Amino acid sequence: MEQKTDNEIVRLERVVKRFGDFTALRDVDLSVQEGEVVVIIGPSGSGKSTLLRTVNQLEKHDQGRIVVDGIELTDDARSLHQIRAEIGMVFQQFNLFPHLTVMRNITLGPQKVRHMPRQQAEELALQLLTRVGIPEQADKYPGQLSGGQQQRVAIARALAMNPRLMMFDEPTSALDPEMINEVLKVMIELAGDGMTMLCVTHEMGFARNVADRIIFMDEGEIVEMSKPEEFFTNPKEERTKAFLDQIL
Amino acid sequence: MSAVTAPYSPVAQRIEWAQANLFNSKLNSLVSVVTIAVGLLIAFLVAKFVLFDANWALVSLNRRLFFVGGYPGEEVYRIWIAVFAAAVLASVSYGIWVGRMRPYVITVGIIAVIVLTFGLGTNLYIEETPFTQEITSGGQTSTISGIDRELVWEQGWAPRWLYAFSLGLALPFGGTWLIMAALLALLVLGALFGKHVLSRWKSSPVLLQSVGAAWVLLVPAAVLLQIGVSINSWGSAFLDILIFAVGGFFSFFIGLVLALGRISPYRAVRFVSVGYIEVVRAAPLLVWLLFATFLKDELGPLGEAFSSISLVYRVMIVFAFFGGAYIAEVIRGGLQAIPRGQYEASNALALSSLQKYVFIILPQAIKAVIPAIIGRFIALWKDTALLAAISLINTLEQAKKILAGQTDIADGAFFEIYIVVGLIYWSVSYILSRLGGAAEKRLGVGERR
Repeated sequence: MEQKTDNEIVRLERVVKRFGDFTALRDVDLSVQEGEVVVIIGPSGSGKSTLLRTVNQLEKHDQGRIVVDGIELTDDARSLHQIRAEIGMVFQQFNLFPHLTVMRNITLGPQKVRHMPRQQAEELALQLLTRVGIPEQADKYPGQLSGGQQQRVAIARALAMNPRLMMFDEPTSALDPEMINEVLKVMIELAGDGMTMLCVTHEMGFARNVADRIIFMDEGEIVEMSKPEEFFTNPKEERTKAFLDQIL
Repeated sequence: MSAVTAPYSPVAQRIEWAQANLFNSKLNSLVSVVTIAVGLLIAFLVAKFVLFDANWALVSLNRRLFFVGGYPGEEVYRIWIAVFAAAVLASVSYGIWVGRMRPYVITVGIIAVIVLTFGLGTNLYIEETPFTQEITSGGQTSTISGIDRELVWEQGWAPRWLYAFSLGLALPFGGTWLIMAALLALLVLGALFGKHVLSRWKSSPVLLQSVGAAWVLLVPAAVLLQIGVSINSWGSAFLDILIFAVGGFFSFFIGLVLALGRISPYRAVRFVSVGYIEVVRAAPLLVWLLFATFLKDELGPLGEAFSSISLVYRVMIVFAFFGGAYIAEVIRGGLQAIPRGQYEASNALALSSLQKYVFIILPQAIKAVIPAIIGRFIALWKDTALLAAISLINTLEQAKKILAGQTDIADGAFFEIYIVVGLIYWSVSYILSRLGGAAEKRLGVGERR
């Protein structure tokens, strides 16, 4: 077991990830505290998504240490399983299970991983669907829902595992503009409820208003990390300035 | 031509549809007229042969041989039990999950009329009269004796051409008639029961699991039912269906294991799976069947153990392993079609590897390849025709024997006999293809993405 500082949930130390000759993450250090909302921004190919994906090991890191909730990620399958159960993940492409109803999409994890009885899992699913605003869609299949509704189901599915950390990988990038707000609204509420969140997003409004900390990444490195007001009004690094000039 | 389907409504609409789809240009009109003319001609020739020219006596007399071969008569009830179980299961499943009763009842009704009424009162048998005859030739008188065989046709209410509709299979009144009546009634009652009673629990996993389990157990149960009946008496359509059912049943699971083996993280498992598939598919089934027939102790104890079991079981094993190699490739295709996101979402939910495949990956992969799997099953079913080459009496071989033995009463009725052989192969293939269609529809619910 790892010594925890404060209420640290995620800790990365000098993490390196390579894809062949391409280095996606270069010596990344990061610490996320419980209840914190951390937003990661940066140009495409900067390693933002890879950073998230190493935390729950959808990508294996090549060097460095990753500690989640006091458990160090090793090759041990059991610790990996434990960590994944504690982290909810929301993908850009939703990745709902198209052959299962919305209800079943949400209850599968609690039932199979947490061994929750079916009835209890279904009650939980309805609660969560109510929370994301679509309780009436429970018996439909993902293909029958709009993109925004699908992404909200995906959030409910992740929440059903009662995670200690929620990770969002560009959750609104695949959505039509009119559906972005319904998803952001759910995320803002979630942050308000004190959920620890690690978000990769291009929604600067969300970053500015909700984030406790903003991380700017470029070429696999964390270039700058600061509070939102400071980040947007007084960026220190040249690369950050250049990026903000482009998008704002 | 557009893909508009003919609406099921008044004549005027149909004429309109025909004008719009068949006669909307000069070329199209010409093509339509020629096609219709050729179709009518073929239909006329077939009808003329089936109803007037053909001699169905040989088929009618040998219908039992066609279906069960040399199976002992007092044991045939075992086959009926299996048939009834399959009928109940199929009709109840249809009622629950498809539930379109009108076309179903009409189809069963038509079959019932043909099978149950056209043969009523008809009796067909061979009268054997011993005879002796004195022949005088060249001053010498010799006596020869023998049996004179004559076909007796006692016509029932239906004229001969109507009787021919049932291809001579129309059953005369008797025990079999009652069984067939019960079977057909059960097909309707089972579907009604499924639709009006059981479908209320359509979404209940208990119902789904018990019906699923019944389907899975059907084939092993049908085989276990045969215990005690000499394997040597298994023959004709019954033998073909049994070998296909057992071989096909296990080939699916073998294919599943091999497909998963091909994508295993362990190199040795991958290597064995690929090697197996490549070797098995590289030789024709007939060669494997001949190996199974002639293998003695060439492979040491393994070969001895294999050759010690009955040929029919050896053939079932060959069918299962041969079919499995093909099914594996089909399922692999389905696995490749699953987007990476499905694996990632399962992993992110902390599902175990087994859970990931059982609940997420395989249901989608198999659903995607149902048509191809059904295609493999149909091919495997028709491969039972090869059994004639290894001295098993399959439907084809039985047909040859019937022809060889009885030329004197139905001289040259080759065509009639082979029509029935073709119909037996066709009907099982057709049932398979409809089952596949139903499964596809049933599983395709969440398809719209």
